Amino acid sequence: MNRRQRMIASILLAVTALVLLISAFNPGILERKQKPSDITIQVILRSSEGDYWQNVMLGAQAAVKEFGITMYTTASYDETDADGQMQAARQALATKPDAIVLAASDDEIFAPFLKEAAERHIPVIAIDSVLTSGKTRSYIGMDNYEAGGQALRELADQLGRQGDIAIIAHAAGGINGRLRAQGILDAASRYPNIRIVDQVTCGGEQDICSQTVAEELRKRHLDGIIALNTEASIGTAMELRNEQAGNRVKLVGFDSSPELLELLQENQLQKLIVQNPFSMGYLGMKYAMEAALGHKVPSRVEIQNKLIDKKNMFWKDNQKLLFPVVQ
Amino acid sequence: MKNGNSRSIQYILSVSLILFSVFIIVVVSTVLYSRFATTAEENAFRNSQQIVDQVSYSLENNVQATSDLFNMMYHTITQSGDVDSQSLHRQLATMMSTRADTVSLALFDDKGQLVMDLPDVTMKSALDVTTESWFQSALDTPNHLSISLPHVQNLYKEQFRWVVSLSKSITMIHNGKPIQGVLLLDVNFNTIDELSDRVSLGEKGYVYILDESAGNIVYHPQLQLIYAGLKNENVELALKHTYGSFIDKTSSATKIISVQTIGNVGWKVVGVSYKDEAMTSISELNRSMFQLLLALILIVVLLTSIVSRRISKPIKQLELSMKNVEHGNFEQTAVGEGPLEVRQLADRFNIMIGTIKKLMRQIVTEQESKRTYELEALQAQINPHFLYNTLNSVVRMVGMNKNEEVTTMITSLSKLFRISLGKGKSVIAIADELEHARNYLVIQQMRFKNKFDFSIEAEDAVLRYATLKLIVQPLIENALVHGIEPSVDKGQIRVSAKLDGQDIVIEVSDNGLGMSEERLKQVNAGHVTSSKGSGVGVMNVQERIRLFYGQAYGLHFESELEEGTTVTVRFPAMELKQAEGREQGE
Repeated sequence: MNRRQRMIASILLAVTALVLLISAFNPGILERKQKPSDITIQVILRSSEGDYWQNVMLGAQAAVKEFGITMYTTASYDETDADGQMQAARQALATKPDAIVLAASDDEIFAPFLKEAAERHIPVIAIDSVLTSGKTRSYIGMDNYEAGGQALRELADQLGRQGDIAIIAHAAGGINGRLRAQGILDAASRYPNIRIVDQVTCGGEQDICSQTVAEELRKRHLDGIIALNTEASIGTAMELRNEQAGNRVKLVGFDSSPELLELLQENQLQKLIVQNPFSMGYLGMKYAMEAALGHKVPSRVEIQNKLIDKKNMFWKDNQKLLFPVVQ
Repeated sequence: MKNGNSRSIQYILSVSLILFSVFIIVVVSTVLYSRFATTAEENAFRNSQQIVDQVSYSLENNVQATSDLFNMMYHTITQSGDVDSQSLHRQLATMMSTRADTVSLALFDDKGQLVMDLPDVTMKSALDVTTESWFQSALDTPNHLSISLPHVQNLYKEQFRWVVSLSKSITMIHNGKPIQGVLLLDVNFNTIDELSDRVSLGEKGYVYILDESAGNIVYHPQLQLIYAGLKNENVELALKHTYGSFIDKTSSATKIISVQTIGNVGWKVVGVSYKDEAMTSISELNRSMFQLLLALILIVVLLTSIVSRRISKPIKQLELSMKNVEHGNFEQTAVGEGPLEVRQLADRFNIMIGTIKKLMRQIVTEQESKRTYELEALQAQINPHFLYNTLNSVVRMVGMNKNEEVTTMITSLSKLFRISLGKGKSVIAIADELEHARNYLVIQQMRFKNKFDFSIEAEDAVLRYATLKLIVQPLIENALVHGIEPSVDKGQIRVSAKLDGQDIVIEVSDNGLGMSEERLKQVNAGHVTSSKGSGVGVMNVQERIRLFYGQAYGLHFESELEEGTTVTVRFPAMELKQAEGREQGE
């Protein structure tokens, strides 16, 4: 070793020693984004309104509290405003979050967003609605296709395996609504005496759905109705109550709200297929965090839905699901 | 450097210092760790238990206050005349308003029919309270206040509120008749929920409430996750104990469980905090210690390499000086640098080298003077032999009455001796040396009866320079003995002196027999000793010149058979004074 090399080696040693000393007195100075508390996750929801989405937020907040993550949320008021949601999502991308939890209003429209997120290496976790137009790290939510089939089987049991059935969907049903409808249609083919006589969409408020149902009831004889979303379910049940057709026309709905449960108690509808939005929000955040930390996350997590009727709605473990917010 | 058992200074220094610092740090961090760990654990336990105690104290107070209100209402109803009276309703409404968390008050008869309710809201149409657990437990255990688990009250239209129901069987007067019934007070669950939610047990810790009798969870921040099967709460430890803090190792993360029982309602407040959170500072301390250790090792390596180089470098230099001495170079002295010990060592070494040099010079001087004495002795040997021959010739000439010749011979002889005796000096002027040679030639010419002629030529510039005494005469004697005497022809001897650059060249040439080439070589190589003459002559001259002037100088022979021989003497031109100084200096 000549003098110069000796000199360089000495300087290197001294610098290393200095760095070690500094880090010994300032713990954590050498670590970068290894802890969950350093992670920022952007949550983009379809809406901030309604029990369902509030419940999602509660679950996400539970994860925030448990892991110490930083969370930002954007949500549009109107669930059908896919463009608005898309704009908000793009803006959120510019803030460089470590991961994104996305409940998308539309599949196709998010293709460029997913591409951009992939280019920036920001993992996207889809909750509530599955996305096929681009790459997502995971989907967390109900199997909507299977849930549609389940709804039809329940209604078929109520009707004694025969009758005419209409499907009422809300315009804001999005990806999930389509999958549920498809599940219903495919399941109906196994029941020779069950006929899907119509499939209608109502938009806007619940009373518009009620009107749509009223028209439908005037037009043709119906034995049962499957309502694909909260608004459609409420609107349909209200109309059935108005017409005093609750006993004549059986109704299976999706999701829960205090009104729906009230209607369920009044026998205006028979079954509700209820998701677990709290778990969805919690798991969405948890897996987003894991993905941001570079861990492997399952590509699809199905959250079991619950079939709620008048009898089991006050069971201990269903109370918390149906009435998540302590008032 | 590291052969066998011997290690370098750097190695020894580094290893011992590193071992020492590792030892110190390990000891310090062990002591610190154990002290910190114990304190941190105690603190965590105490903190957890304190929080749980506070929560349960507040809860107990809350429940107690609510029970008191209930009892007050209970007595007011039992002691009033008719439950339908307006004054009673006003009284009860005032009582309710004293507490913000009361939701509703209701009276049912034992068939489950509503007798009275406050505030007055519509009941559900298809209502059957007899199946509700608060109704049943009130009837099952009379005179006992039943406090239900939090549940969603299913009494009022379009209202689903989380309440805790207080119920008790009651005897009241309705429509003038005393009847049995149940009094129900619903209290908002908010207070409990908020109280438990606000609690912070570290970052991730939380508090949950457990119902002692059935092991049901009354409140849990993540109840939904537990029902959904995403979370699991280990309630067994909490059920086993009524009070205290415990370590729960059933899950992957070690938890500290603190339990306190609320007596009046049969609930348990359980605090869950994560042990690793409490111990974060310890693991940080540990890592800091480790980094400190690494840094210290690096510094020690650096320092020892610098220090040991400062020590070993002068030692290595000393070693190099010694190696030089080994190879015979005594001129270089060791550099006195570095630590005191090494400097002293270098000084001692230098003194030692000095002594050796002095001793060696002494030996050389002794040897040289010995040789000089020898040579002087040899020089002295010439004279008696020559003197004998010359005096013989003088006697013969006196016999022949050659007075003039005798005079010349004696004069020459006396001049010869005057020069050769000199003043005891071995260095004389070239002029004197040539004069000496001339006298010698004159004497020899007379002895050999003019068998040869001679000539002496010298440049004037040469004459003042110094020469060793008696170097030309032996060469002339050599030329006479080997060249002229055996020859039948009349001989010719020529002596010349001239300057050749910085050197003085004296040539003695004869036209005698000469030498064969082979012999010439031997003579030039200095291998030949003459059998005739005084035996010292030529070689003596050669050696003296070399001793005095150095190996580069001396004699050179040129010769051809039948042609003659030329001897050339070459030595540097030196002023007389300089040469004398040199003679004395040697």
